[in-house]
Amino acid sequence: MIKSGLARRITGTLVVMCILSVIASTTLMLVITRQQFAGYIDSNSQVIMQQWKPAIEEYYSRYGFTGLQDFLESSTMGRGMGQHRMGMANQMGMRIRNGQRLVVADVSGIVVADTHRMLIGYPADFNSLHFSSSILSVDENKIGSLYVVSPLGSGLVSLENDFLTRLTVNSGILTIVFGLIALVLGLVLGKRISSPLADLSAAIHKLAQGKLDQRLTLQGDHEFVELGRDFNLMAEKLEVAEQNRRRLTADISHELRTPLTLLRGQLEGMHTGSVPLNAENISLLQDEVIRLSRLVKELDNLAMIENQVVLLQRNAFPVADLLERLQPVSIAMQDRDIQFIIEIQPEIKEITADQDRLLQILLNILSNAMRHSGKPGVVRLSIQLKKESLLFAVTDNGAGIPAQDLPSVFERFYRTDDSRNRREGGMGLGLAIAKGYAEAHGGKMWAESKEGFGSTFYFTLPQK
Amino acid sequence: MEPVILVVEDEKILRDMVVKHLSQDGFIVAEAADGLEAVKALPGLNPDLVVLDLMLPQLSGWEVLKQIRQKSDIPVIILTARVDEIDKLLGLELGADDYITKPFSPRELTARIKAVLRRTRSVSPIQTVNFGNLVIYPEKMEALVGSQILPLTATEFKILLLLAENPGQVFSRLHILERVFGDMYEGYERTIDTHISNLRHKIDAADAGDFAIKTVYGIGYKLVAEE
Repeated sequence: MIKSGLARRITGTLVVMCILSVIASTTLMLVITRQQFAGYIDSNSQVIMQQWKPAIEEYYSRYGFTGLQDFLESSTMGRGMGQHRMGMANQMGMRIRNGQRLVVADVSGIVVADTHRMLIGYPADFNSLHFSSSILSVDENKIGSLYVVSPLGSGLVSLENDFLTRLTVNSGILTIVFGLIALVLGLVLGKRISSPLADLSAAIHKLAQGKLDQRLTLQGDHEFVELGRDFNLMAEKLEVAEQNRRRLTADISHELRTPLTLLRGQLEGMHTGSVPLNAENISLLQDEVIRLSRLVKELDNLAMIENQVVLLQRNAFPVADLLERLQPVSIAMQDRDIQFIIEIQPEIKEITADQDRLLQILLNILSNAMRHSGKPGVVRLSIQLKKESLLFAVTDNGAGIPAQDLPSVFERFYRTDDSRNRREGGMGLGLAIAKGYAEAHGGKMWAESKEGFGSTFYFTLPQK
Repeated sequence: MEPVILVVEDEKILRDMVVKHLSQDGFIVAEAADGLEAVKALPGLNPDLVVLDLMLPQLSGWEVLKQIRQKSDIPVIILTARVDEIDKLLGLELGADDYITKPFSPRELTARIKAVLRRTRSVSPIQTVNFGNLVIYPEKMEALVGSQILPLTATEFKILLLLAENPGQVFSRLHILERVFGDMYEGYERTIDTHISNLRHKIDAADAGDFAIKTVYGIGYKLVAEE
């Protein structure tokens, strides 16, 4: 399996961060500890200094520097000679620590006594050694200097250095342990992020190959759940769109089949002579061709609506113009004994719209209302001014539309009654086109219906 | 003199069909198969009207129209296969005199050509449509029986003109509806009966007409001479 780059990067970052933070905190701790120790040692040295300074000064006033070396050695380590002189120091409870070093130099800086013996006879030079010093004086006269040398930094094994070393070692172990924990956590976290991404990627690939039924199971962190939900939504919309496309193609070929069969039958009949070549038969062909042309035009209109390229020729025109063009509808209603009522709010004198398209909308929904009105039929067209929009409503008194069919009536080729004759019921594109045109005007179209009490189709046309 | 029409259309079958129909209807017809050919033919031919397809090889119909308009105001009727181009056509106001979408009726094309020529050839003698003692002045929207003006509505006038221009030919209701109201009114074929009925009453009232609108059972209507 190819490891995802993201997971590796997360793991790496986590490990580096862990190690860096352990190192940083260890270093900080070391520095602070060292400072603390230096302070402690300094104050310790001061204490020793305070203890030893009067003792050495007193010794000097009694014996001078002679035998000071012995005195120091015996006092600090409890061995050597000069017991009579030792009592003084012991009395005072003076001790120095292992590794601590007392050095005494005379006024000219030459070491006269050293608990480590190394510098006797040499100038008091301690290089990088950590030390404190104090001037020795007797009766206001300077007699030399006392140095207390701390073992810190000298490389000598001391309790303090021991502690620091242990601290360093432990920190190192801690760094490795935390680094390992970070590595494991990083791998787990990386997998948690990369595996949903890998699933998503695989699903997208399948979707791209046309397997539109791909869905992700929603799991993991909420970002991934959201991403998965969005993906599923997209896939669902694609699937619906694809189904629509397929159905549309099937519907179109279905719509073409009947007129083509008729044309072919008539023409073949004329060819063989079984259908007489007379005006009636030719007219039949012609009407069929007119219907086919109309279907093509409606499909064109629908395509324009769906591609949102309907360019409107908006004009203000008198309401009377529109009503005049609805005359065929009035006549058709009369022929069918349908009462056609037109109610227009008196304030409305003009309509601003693409007149042809508005007429098309009205023709489509009025034809629908006419076909579906009850007996005796009543169809009502009302136009009202609502704020800056015109609200058109077309109501019939027919059987109404079942609630479950209501959302579908604006779909292409949708017909509530499948058995309905094509000649009678139109092609099922009318409402889809009407809705599209209303929306192209910036308006809306919707339908309300109560079974047994008829339906009302509404649409709005913004006038600004 | 017969009007000269230049038909610019790249599809041969369609061009031949249009040419045949227009020749039949009494026009002198010239053809061009693409835009370049059309532009070259124009100066020598000097047609009275151009029927121009929009989708042409070499030089598009848009270009041809632009070039025509730079030089002259010859009437142009656009043929187009795409409904969305009509909006473009109207929007650009390139100066097309009319348009017709495919699929179209050749008879309608003839009617449009005649209408445009009537509009644009102001110097030409007033054309009338005659049938028996029926005289129609299309540009005045007037129909007379003998010397008596028929009080027709616009719709009735259009129906009568359609029938009179093609006497003896049977028109189905759907055909009349499409030609008179446009193709939006499918399903309203029966309303034609009402208009025809009104038209007959007016003709009868005018008296002394030697023609009649005859119902052809199962088909539609035609204009015939009264025996």
